[in-house]
Amino acid sequence: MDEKGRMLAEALDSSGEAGPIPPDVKALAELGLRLRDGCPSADPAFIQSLGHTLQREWTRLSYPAQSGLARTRLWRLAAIPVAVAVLFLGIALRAPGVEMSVEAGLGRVITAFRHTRVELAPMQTITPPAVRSETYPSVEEAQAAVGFRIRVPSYLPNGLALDEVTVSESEGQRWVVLQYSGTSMAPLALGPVTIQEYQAGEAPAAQALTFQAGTEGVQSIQVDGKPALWVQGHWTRTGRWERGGQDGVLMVQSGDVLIQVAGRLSQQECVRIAESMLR
Amino acid sequence: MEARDVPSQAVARGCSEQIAVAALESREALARLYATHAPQLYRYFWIHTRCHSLAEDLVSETFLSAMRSLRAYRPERGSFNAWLYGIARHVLAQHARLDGPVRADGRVLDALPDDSSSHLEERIDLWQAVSELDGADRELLALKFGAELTHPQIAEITGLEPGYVGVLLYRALQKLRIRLMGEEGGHG
Repeated sequence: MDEKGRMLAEALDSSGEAGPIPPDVKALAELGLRLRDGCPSADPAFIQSLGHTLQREWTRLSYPAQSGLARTRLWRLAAIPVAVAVLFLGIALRAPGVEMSVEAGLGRVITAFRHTRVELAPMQTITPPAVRSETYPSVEEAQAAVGFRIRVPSYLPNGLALDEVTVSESEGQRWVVLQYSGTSMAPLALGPVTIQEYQAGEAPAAQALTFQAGTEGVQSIQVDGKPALWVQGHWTRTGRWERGGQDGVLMVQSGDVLIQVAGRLSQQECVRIAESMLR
Repeated sequence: MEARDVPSQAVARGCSEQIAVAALESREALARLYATHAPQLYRYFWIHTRCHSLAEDLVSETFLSAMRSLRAYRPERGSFNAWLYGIARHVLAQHARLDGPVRADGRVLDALPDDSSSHLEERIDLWQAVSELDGADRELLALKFGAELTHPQIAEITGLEPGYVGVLLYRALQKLRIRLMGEEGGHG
C-alpha cells in the first residue's frame, strides 16, 4: 500500500514524468484528475468583490491611528445590505395564507417607521443609497454623534468583542452600527455580529429591499415581551440574501428605536443579545 | 534594507511566506497573496459544500480572519499555506458545528462547469459519491484536487507523514471509485 501511495503521488505530482504505473493506480490517478477538472472555479465577480473588501479592511487594520477619533470611510460590504434592509424593509412572500400573518407581525414590530412597507413580490436588485459613515473606537465617543441613546448588549457570545462603532447618515436618517468580531482564539468561528440601531420615523420612502425569505423564513416572536421579527438566513459577503441555516436577522422595536441583531448566530443567541439590550 | 523595499522584492520572488509578511505593509503584496490563494481556497470549500454561495462565504470568512491575524503569522513556524488552510479548516469545522454537517442543496447543477465532454449524470454521480465519503477522505480530496496542493503541502497542513498522505489518498480514491462503480452498476 505504501508503494502504491507513492506511485499515486508521483503520478499526480510529477507532471507526467512518472515511471510505469500499475493500471489500478493509473485508474485512481485519472479519477483524481476528473475531480480536479470537474471542480468549478470561483466566480470572478466574487473574487474581485472580496478583494476590494480585503483592501478596505487592510486599510482599516494597517493605519488605525491615521484617522483620529472619527474617520470617514466606506461601509464594509457586508454591512451595506443589512443596513438597507431595515431602512427600506420589504419581505418577499409567496403563500397568501402566510403573507397576512407575517405582514401583521411585521406591522407590529415596525410601527414607528412611517415609510416601511412590505413587498409581496420578489425584487432581485438592491441599490443602496449614498451613505456617509464615521467610525469611532468606543460607544461613548459615538454617542454624541448619533442623537439617541445607544443601547449596548450586556450579553454577547463568548469570544466576541466590540470592534468599532459606526454612525451613519443617509438622506437624513441616522443610525448606529456596533460591529463585534472575534478575538484571536475561538471568536472568528462565530463570524462578525452586527447590531444596528435606528431612530424611528425618519426613514425615507421610495426604496424597498427583498429578503427573499420565503414563507418559512420569517417568524413573529417575542423579545422581552416586545414583538419581534426573526428572518432566517444571512447576507453573503457579495450582498445576496441566503435563506436557510440556523442564523438570521432579529428585529425588535424598543420605544422609538429599532434594533437589529444580525450574524451567524442562532435565533436563541440573537434573542438573548437583544434582551440584554432592552433590560 | 528599507521597509518599503521588502514588499516588492517578496512579491517578485513569488514566495507566499515573504509576501504574507510584506502584506502587512503593502497593498500590492496583499493583492498578490489573495489572488494566489483565493481561487484554490474556493475550490477547496466547494468540494466540501458543493454550494456556490456557502463556499464564497467560507472563503470570505477565512480571508478576513487571516488578514486580521496576519501579524501573528510567523514564517519560521510553517508555510503560509499551512497557516491559511489551518484557518480554513477551523472555519469549516465551526460552520459544521453551528449549521450541522455541510451538504449539497440542489444547486450543484448550477455550479458545475459547462463541460460538454462528459455526461451531466456522471458528473453529478461523481460529486454525490464524494459527498458520501467520510470527512477525512473528503478533506484529503479537497486539499489535493480542490486546492491542488502537493503531498508534502498536505502533510504539513494535516500533520500527517508525507508518505502516509499518498496512502490515505489512494484509499480515499479507491473508496470513491468503488462507490462510482456501484452507481454505474445501479444505473445499468
